Amino acid sequence: MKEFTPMELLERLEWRREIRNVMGRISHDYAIKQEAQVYDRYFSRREDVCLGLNNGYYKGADAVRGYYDALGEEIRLSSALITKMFPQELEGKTEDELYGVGMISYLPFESQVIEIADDGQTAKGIWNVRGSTSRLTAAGPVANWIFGWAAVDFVLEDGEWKILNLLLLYNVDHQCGVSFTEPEKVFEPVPEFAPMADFHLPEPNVPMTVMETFRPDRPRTRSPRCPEPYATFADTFSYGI
Amino acid sequence: MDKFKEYKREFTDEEMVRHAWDKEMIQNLISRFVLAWGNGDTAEAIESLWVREPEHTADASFATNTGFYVGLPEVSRHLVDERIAYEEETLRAFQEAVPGKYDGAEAGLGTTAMHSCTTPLLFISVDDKYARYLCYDLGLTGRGRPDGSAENYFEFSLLLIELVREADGWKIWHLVEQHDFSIESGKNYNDVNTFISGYDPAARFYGEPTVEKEVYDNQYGWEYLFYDMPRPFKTYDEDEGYGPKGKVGRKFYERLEML
Repeated sequence: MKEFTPMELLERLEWRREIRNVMGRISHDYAIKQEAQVYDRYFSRREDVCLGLNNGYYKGADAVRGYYDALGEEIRLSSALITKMFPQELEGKTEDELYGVGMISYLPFESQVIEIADDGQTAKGIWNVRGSTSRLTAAGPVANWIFGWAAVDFVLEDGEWKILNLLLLYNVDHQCGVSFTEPEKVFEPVPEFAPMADFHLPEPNVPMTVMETFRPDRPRTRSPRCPEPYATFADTFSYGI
Repeated sequence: MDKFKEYKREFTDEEMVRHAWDKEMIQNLISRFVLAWGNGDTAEAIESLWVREPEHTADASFATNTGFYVGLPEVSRHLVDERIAYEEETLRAFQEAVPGKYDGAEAGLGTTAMHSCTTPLLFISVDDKYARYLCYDLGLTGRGRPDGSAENYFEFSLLLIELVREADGWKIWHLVEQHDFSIESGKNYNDVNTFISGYDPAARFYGEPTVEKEVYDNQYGWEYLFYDMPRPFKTYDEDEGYGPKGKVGRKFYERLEML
């Protein structure tokens, strides 16, 4: 690793805190149903950004933005249906005020390994993710517990750390209350929530199995690779494709 | 606790920056270890993240609730060899149950584990040579069976870690995993009477330590963590450290002198 002066180290300490702040903001955005804003708020404006989920990659700005916009559409639809079901409790509220009502997701990020390139232009980090998500389905709200990792390539743009590539992979993503290798419970459809059956998030534009969630005979599976000290982004690996 | 005030350090600006940087690098180091541990890449982790200098490797240690693995080869026996045996046994069960289907599969099939280091406490000694770290290890384990079932647990432990600065940086020297409890995924924990039945699924991972001794009694909840919690300290003290000769894990009534 390159030797840094105390002032350079101080700047790197600040950068590391900023990078953790970005991940902290994303985590809290999920908790307050603002996850649809993740692209606008935290991603680089570059065209080659990438988002990887268990079932594939959203490659390119349009695909990544499209995914997060769809999350917003899902939240809007869910909010509207919940509002219809609870008119007395929710009457008089605007659509904006009702956005995200009735749902909460916790995606705490911890156990981070962060490496900033010697040239200070990029950084990489990996975090454990351990929490739960809740979504409205045609059978009502369903919560999952999740265990996995967020692995991120950052790029410094105008003094701010922005996401170039984000891998958000779940080792476990299974209905709460059910052993994470047992079949999930099937709930009776709720007619008021029927429109949720027709809602689907866009498929990745590069579909592939990036990671299987755990099952009894899953092949050996590791977390995304841990960042190592590096000089420039060209000298290391990428979390994107 | 007034006596700990004397351990407050005076820093120059440069020393303060390097002290803060050291703490960041220690956090990176511990996080790397818990990730590698969950991935089953413990051989590589011990090689790169644990002590290498002979004066430290001889008494490097990893402790479970039931004892200490002492010396780096013994740490490897537990973290590497016993894990490999567990993975190979799991794979063998699948291969024997369905001949041919799992030929050539890498050991680790049908298993998963995650560890973490959340809510850390971290202090570096006044002499700048040692560090002590405490965190929660909130993770999971899963092991499949050929019949399609699996035993899956949410795991709750504490990690007490002592680090030493070697020529090429900070290294893990002593690590105590105090396992508190396991909750079987999908089961109601209230249905398990830990006091009476001694229920502790994690016991299958304790192995056969070099030095068998009670390091953590998770059945009765003795409030002894306070005494082992990292706090300002001058230098390494074998008695107060997290190694096999220290007091770590002793029950509160055996450590009242610290109050």
